Amino acid sequence: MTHYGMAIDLKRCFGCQACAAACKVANNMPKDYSYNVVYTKADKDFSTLGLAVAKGAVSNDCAGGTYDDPTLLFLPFQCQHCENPACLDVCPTGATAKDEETGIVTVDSELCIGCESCIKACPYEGVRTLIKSPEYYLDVVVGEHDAPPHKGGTVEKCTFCKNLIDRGEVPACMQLCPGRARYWGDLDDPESDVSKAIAGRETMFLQEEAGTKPSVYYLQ
Amino acid sequence: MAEPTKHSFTRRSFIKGAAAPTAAGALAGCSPQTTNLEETDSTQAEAPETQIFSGVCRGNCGGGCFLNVHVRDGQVVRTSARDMPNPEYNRICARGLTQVGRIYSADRVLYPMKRIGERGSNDFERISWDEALDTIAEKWKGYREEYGPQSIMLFYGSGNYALYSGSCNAVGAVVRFENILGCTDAGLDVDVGTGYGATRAHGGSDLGNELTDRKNAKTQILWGNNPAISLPHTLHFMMEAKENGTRLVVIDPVFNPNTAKADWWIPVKPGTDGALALGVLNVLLANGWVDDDTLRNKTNCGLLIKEDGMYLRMSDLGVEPTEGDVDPLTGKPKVIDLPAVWDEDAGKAVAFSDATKPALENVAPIEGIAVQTVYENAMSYISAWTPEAASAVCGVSEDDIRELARVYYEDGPVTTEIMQGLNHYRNAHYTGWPVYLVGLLTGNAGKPGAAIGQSEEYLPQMMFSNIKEACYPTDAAGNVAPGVSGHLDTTVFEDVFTTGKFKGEDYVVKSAYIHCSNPLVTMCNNDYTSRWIDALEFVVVADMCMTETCKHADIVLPAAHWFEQEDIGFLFSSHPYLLYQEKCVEPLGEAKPDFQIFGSILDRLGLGEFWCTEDEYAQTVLDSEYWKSLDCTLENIKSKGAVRIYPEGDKLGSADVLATETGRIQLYQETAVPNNVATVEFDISKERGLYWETPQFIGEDREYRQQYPYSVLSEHMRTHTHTQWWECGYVREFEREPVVRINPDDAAELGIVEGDTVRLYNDNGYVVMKAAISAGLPRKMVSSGRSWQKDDFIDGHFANLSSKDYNPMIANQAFNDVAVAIEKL
Repeated sequence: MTHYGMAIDLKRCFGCQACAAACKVANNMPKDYSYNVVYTKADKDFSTLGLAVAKGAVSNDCAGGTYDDPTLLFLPFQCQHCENPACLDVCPTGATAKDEETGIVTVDSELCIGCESCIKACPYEGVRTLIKSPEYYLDVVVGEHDAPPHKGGTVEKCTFCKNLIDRGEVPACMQLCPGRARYWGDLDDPESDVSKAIAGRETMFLQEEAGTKPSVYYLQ
Repeated sequence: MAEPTKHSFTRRSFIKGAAAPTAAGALAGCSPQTTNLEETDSTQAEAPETQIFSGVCRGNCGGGCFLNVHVRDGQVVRTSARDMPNPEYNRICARGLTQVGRIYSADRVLYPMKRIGERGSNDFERISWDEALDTIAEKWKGYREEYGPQSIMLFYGSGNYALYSGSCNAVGAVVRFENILGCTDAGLDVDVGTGYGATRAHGGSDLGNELTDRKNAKTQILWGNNPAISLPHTLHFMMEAKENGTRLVVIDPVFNPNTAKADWWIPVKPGTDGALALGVLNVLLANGWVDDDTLRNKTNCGLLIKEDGMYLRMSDLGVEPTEGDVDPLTGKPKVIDLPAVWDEDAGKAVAFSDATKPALENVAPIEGIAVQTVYENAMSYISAWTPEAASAVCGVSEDDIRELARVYYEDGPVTTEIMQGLNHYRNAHYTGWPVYLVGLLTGNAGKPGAAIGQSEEYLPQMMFSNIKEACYPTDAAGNVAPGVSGHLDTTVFEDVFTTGKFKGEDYVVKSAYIHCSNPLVTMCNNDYTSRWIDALEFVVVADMCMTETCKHADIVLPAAHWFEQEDIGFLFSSHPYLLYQEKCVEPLGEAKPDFQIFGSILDRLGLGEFWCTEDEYAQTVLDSEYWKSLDCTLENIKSKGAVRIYPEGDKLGSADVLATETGRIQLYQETAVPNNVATVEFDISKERGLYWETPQFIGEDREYRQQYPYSVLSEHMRTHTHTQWWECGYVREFEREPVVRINPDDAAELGIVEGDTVRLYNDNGYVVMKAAISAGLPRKMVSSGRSWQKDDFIDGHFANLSSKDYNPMIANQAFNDVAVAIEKL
């Protein structure tokens, strides 16, 4: 049994968007669909996500508050791969599943009917999207050969790059964070990078009160 | 539980032999690596083959990332970070990760093209390589015969820091190309003001330490540097040092992602950093925090200035000059006539190097010659910059000016990291001198943890390569390539091109070849740039994509993408490696490597004998004692992928003996040579001793600023490297369009809310774009990325707001010395 998870050090993240860009290409993402969005926070209220150009904001670089007392930080955000995922039981077809071997929550595009029940049930706004009619920036297919299929009419979200994990690699967003702010591994293994990163640090979960037990730790 | 999809691998399947904990990045060696081939699970053998090649991301961000280029079916599908010998230097960013968006962009130039419409119209038709090259050769032969070789101008920017096809200053094959042509060399005129001024302090010494040394600093001060945007790969060194106890101080007008990480933010008014530095110098000297030994023996403060502004030299005292080593520039022996000082121990005037206690003040006339010490000269200026006076100009409180001085005095070693934040103003060189003096006079340079400037891990390549033979080749008859016939700065282009005269003499330029550059966007004043380009009869642009500049060309040549050719990543500021670029895929369409294009043009001009192969070029460049001592050979670059440019151990700058005439820190210089070809006359009184003035347009005391109340910070973008990646769709999801950021109170005053369309304008031009509100901007200052193409703006052009003119002393584009008025549309 493995429980894959991430820790993201908010003291280190400076909003460079590398994790989001790595995700876009490795997963051959269509235009304007993202599994991984880095939000700009102009306040310290983590009950809200903040602003992101990918989600319609004008700029990713605006501080909040006043010039004498400004606030600017960044919040990378994706599916939290919860231990008790709210999306699981509401799925009418069994498309949404939790892999007991890895803890990864998946959506099978062959079974998904695009009913959006999971979107409504998930406490994390925007982590999953109903792919409508995907369009691409390029005429060629890019990314991993086994990137998600992006079938119109199905719901997609971050897969923790299960395809990469299954062949001994790490998720695309974890391969190299320029700020060295992201840590990956087995949360149940105290010797894993992620467990060591968490040890001794003040941690936070997003929407912890929803009780879904997310697998993404934020280090403060 | 979901079944694995048919494309998934099971956990049993992995890359055999690649016992790599960090995935593809750990694949060693440089020959193509094949992954997914040796499947251990035979039921899933349909996985297509992916090859991993070594690649180099090499625009001018200074990052020089070593990449894994993932290739499937002859097509690049992904890029990821590749391991450097020291993994602290492993790096990649949103740009390097989206290379596929450039390679396969719809804006890629795939074929040679000739213009059939108006200049700027994008009306082109495809032609063959033969037609393109024959046309270039025919035109150039004609111009060369009729007007001379200077009639062709080579304009190269910074779009590719690779040795063969790139734009490596001083050492790249492009330099060989222009030396063979004997053409006019065009000045890029960027990022040189601060250094020009700082050289007055240190003579040109390298005072930068390698980033791995940052942990040794007690204090790190970012002064005019925005690594989160411009140099993202350097920031983790700073944050790790900070977590280890190194205090992070940021001097910046803007509260940005770096400032947000700072232990202490010093908000300075834009373009006034020199006033801040002079205030700090005032405190240091008033408090006795620059010790007596430093002033007497490590600076030129004891030197004696005569009434004509020149030093009292030993020849003034009857000592005959002697001959020194041969000056490589003139080929003649140097004349040694040492400056004199008054030695208090000896009670007489002696050569500075013979004195044990040079007097700093009150030296009586020597042999009837009245003198002032350099110390007296400097103090007469610095003493006026009290914290009160400095604060009134730079906006930093008097207490913070005093505290910053104390930090330099007591909290060393201090690393002062300076980038272009001080450079892009008309007063940059006046700022550079005092800012560098703060670090130098407090001993914060040339030691572990103590450095000034930025790491410049390209200097050995420019100083110790065999440039003489690589860039000045000889043909079979023993003729040496002629070298460039002249140098022009951009300010004079239009005048020279339209009049055929330069400073009253005939100087005809008919054609330009533009390489690795998009000057219409990157140079100050888009109108001016289009005027000089359009003033030329025949313009050739080689580029990967159809830039705004390409649209003004007569012929556009399709340059191969970085991964479509073999090359060596050669000049990068922020890591100490030469990096091997394998040819990963065939060029798209009919694109060719620039190196081959150069050779083909020279062939048609009958100059092909001077050209060479890529391997020969690299071998010649590396044929020097320096590279041999490091075993840095082409063979090793190819086999190891990354080869270090220094011996092992943190590379440190050296401040013991500076490159000044005296080897000491200078607070005065007797002569000044302008680095601006347009300058005929200048005011020497501003250039000998310390002097500072406000920026020409945004200075709060300037009349222009009264009319145009907002200063404009023209920033880099995290999604573009200069203009590169404008054609990449992926990164538009992080920065979709040009945006001007504005302080909330200013926005309220102007009736602007987030997302409104606004017009910025001044005497030079205007631009229309969207507004965003940010409390990170001070009142009366706005910021915007400067890398968008004309078509990206709602109207106008951001590059039209800046003036093309320079300070007379230094040809240095002043991107940030821009004041505008703003209106909501």
